Amino acid sequence: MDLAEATRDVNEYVAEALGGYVIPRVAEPKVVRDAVYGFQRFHPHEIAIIDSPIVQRLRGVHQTALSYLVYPSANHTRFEHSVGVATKAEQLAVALRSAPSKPDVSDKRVLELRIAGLMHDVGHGLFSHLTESILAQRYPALLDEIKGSDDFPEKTHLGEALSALVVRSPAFRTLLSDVQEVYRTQEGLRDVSADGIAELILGRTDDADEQYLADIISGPFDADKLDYLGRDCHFTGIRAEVDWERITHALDVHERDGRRYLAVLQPAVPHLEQILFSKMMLYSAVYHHHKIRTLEQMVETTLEVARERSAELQEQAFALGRPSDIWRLSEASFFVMGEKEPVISDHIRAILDRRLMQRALVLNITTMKKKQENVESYRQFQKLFADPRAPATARRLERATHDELASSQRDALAPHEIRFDFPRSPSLSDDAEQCNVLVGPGDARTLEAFFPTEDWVASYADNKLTCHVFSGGDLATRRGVADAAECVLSDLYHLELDETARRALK
Amino acid sequence: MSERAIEQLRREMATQYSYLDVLALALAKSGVTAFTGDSKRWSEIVQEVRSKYPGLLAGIWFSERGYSEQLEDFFRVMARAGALSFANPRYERIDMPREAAERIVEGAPDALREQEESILDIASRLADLEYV
Repeated sequence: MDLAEATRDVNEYVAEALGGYVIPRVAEPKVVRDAVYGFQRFHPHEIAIIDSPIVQRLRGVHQTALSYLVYPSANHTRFEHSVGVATKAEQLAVALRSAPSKPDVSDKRVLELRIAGLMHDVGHGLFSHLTESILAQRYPALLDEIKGSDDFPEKTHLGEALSALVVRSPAFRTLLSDVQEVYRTQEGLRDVSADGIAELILGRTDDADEQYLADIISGPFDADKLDYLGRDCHFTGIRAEVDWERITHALDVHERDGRRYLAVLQPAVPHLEQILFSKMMLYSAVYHHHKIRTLEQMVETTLEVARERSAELQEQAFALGRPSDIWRLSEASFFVMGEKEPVISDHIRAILDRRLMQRALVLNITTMKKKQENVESYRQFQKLFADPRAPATARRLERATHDELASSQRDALAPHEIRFDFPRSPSLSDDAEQCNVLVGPGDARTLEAFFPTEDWVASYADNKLTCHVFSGGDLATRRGVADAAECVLSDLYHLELDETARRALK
Repeated sequence: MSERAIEQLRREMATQYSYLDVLALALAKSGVTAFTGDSKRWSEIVQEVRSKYPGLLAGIWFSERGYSEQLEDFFRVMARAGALSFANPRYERIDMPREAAERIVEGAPDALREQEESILDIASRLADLEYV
């Protein structure tokens, strides 16, 4: 799969999705009530974009994938998040007009920012980042080509690239131009361009003087982050707040290396730190929650089995043979149609009935035997958590563990019923090192200078980041898996575990 | 596990490498034991060698601000593994003890042994990061 092929696939999908769409004639702005922000107001032309099938699809993509099976109220979707990002982007942009350096933020750019907010996640597929990561593993050459292409910044994630490809597709361009025609009385709208929207989604602008606008959509403290942190906390019930209003009133721009970036005035630093705290809290309580990791492993296993046995599938989208399959297959159809696919129906039922794989082993620094050599071995082992080869290594370790099982258990448990899970360490330095804090006119430091995220993340990696070996089967089987996995880890990585590594075997 | 199974698994794993192995090996072979902590210089030099050896250093990416999550991961992993030390409080100097360098060279994936010339070239560029 190369970039040209992926682009064709995206273009075809968007053309199909928008094929029968008739642009609604909306006479008045509409007001939408949101659980987090209260009321949000949308222009008529935005309703025409929001109502289009490519944005409506996001109603079926849970923001935090399957975390609602652990946090029952986490049912929020990419749709309300996108709507919220549009609102937040405008608030940040309008606040900038009153900033000390008074950057010129035109009405046209505000309209473009709002549409970029609405569109920034249209590349997300079912289960959000989970399928993005599966596609990235399956098509490494595509990701390399995207990052090496002038059409995308190097640091582009696959989801952002797909969103940009949707916006650059001929069918979306036609939709935008039709919307511009229908709503031609909306001042500034006719100057909005699909390319401009795509660039904002990718976090860059052609004009180096306007980089701060792209930072509003994709930057160290962008509208996306301000929205999802507050929203994820609200809907999971996690008590962590982001005081985005304080940050809004402390914005400015800062010129560095010929580009003008979004910056925050020093008095708002504690509120930026609050963002980092909220993010870390969400990692610890939600994104790295062992049951949520289990569920993600179960979905990944299901899609791997579907791919291996794709010839037996009635619905080929389960094999994720092309990028657009993550859009063609909704979360609802994953469950409803998946139940009718004999090769994966048991996997689907297990998720639906919440019969989860269980922890056979818990691996972190506290579950190693307390010897210095073990600490060193574990730290060597931790390399896997950051290594791009981690999924391939995990599959090898699973096969080796399966081979190591006693023969009776080996026959009762398929290799894919054992999963090694290596979560990645949270990435906070990304925010802290790129965030400009203005300490005086033209004098900026990074947030890292005020808050040592490096040490914090290292401490998280040492004390909280946990690798798990999950397994199906009954308690006796899981004990067998724990024995076998421990043997593999000891032989390959010299890891010696203490009893607490088996604390979940009950 | 049987000796044979362990050997086979090790062989399988040694057929591959990532930028983490390449950077670690090149640093170990650079002959330098104290590097600058200047992240801007690190970004510039690693970007340069990445452009020259895209295959060896695949997967390292930089933002327009010069930040690389992968380079950050590299430092974190090396520090956790005791191969790099950031003992000084302001991160001005990064140390790689000789024993750590020897351990890295000994444990390098087999597949990298065939890339000796390129590794030495990368090592010579990384040597410019010496702390003075």
